[in-house]
Amino acid sequence: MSLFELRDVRVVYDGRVVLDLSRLNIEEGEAYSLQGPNGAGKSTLLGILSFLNAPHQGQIRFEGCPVVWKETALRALRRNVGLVEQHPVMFSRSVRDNVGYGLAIRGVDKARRNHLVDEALDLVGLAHLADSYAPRLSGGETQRVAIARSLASRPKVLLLDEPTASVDTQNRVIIEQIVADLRDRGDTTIVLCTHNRSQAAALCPEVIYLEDGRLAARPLRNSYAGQFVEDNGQTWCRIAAGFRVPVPQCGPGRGRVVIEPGAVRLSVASAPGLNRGILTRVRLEGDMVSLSVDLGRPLHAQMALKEFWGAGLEIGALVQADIPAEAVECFSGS
Amino acid sequence: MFFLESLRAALALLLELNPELLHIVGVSLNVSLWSTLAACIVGVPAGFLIGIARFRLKQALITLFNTMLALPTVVIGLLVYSLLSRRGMFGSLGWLYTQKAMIFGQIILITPIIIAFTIAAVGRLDDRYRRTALTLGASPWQVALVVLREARFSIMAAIVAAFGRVISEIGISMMLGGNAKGFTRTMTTAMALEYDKGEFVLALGLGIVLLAISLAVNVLLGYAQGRTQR
Repeated sequence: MSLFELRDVRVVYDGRVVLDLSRLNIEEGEAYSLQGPNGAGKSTLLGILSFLNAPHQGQIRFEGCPVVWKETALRALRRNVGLVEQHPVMFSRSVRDNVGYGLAIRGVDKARRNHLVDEALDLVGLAHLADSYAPRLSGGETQRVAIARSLASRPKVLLLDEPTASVDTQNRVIIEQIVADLRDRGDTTIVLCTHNRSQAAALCPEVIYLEDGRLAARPLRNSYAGQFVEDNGQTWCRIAAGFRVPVPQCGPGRGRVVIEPGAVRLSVASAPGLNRGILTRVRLEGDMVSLSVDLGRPLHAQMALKEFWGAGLEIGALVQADIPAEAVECFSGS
Repeated sequence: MFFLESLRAALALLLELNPELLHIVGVSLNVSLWSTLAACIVGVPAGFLIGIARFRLKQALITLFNTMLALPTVVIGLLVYSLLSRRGMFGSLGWLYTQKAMIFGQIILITPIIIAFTIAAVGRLDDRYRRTALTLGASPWQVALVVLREARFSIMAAIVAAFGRVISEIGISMMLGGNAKGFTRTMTTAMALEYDKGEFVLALGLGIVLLAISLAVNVLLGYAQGRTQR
């Protein structure tokens, strides 16, 4: 049974349609990434899935039952959902009291509550901070405690709004691991809103891609037809003159390749050469940067904003694209 | 030179715990604490409800309370006098020229302060507290408790401001209390009287006590805030 079934859901602000979903199902136990450019309606959708904001039109079923947007009914529904906002706020209490809040208002007794809080804090690796004053935590710790706070009361679905967008690398890796463990356990449905395509691909098998408030097929970027050739004992796919990628798994002949944008490494180049071209486009997407390089065919790359700042890349400059074999999927035949 | 002499004499009065001075301070504190307490009981819940609720005339109501912040004490004095004087609506109570009348007038003075500042404290609070409590499954009542808890220092500051207003006001105390020695003489009315008599020593001594009380209240509030934020 689908956990959520959305039919003809529309949200309109000031005459502008910000969300328009004719049909969207979210299945129990699955992990979804929620992607799309800024302003595509991702946060609006999270607001609806967490039962905080009612859509202006449309029908939503949760576990098969139609959702009635009345405060008394919503309270019971909200208890099935955990929402971790991009910048979570901590109540001015201890970490333990924060994580135990959902349990306390459900009337769970203190001994059981402490046990569940310890369990949730263990899950995010912050058991040692249980007695710290929560508003004093660092950004990454706050994010992890917020995840523990949502998970402590065992929600059926966990909604995460860009949980790694404003944390350091160390915390990002930990948070990704928490989500991966949760997904593998399979008892919590996950909706992860992210701009990071590699993260989405690694963590969530399912994709909800929004554009202008509508469901869109995720734009299939970096898909090329090419000629598979042997050179120096390695197989390559020649896509254009001066643009080729390693394809160790594919035989000779014609075929297609798809290159994962997040795995492409760009660096400043001094002279033209193989896989070198002009940087034609740079676009900020949340905490990620999308780039396009003209290699005879446009190549799309994606990197974290901090990485972009460090790389010294500028529009119009000549850049070298390093494309590792792991980033390439190949399909023989054309 | 004159100021220094007065100051020295005032400190001597304080150090010897002059009974008259202590009594005046006692009346001031008694009246101010009761009026602040009563105004809190009315003002904090009212301000809180207006702050979190959404209704059509909210902005008009806020403007009304903000305007009432400028209510002069003599206007309140006149108004309450007309109610409590023998021919007034509540004349039979016999409250005029008692501490009860002063407390009554002061409640009218500071309830708008507490309401207006509580509305502002609740309105200023980050909406994420409310949303977080809601997503964790809180009822409207539990959400309200969270908001109240997170806004508590701003609300306490409102109460301290209201206390400061009543302990330093003179119009209501003079008009409704009558500055009767031993009964309704407060620090401010005593200061005015001593000034009229040309007796600056007691006036200055009372001034020092008044400021010291204000200082103590604010230090306490700062201490409470510092403790939870450590």
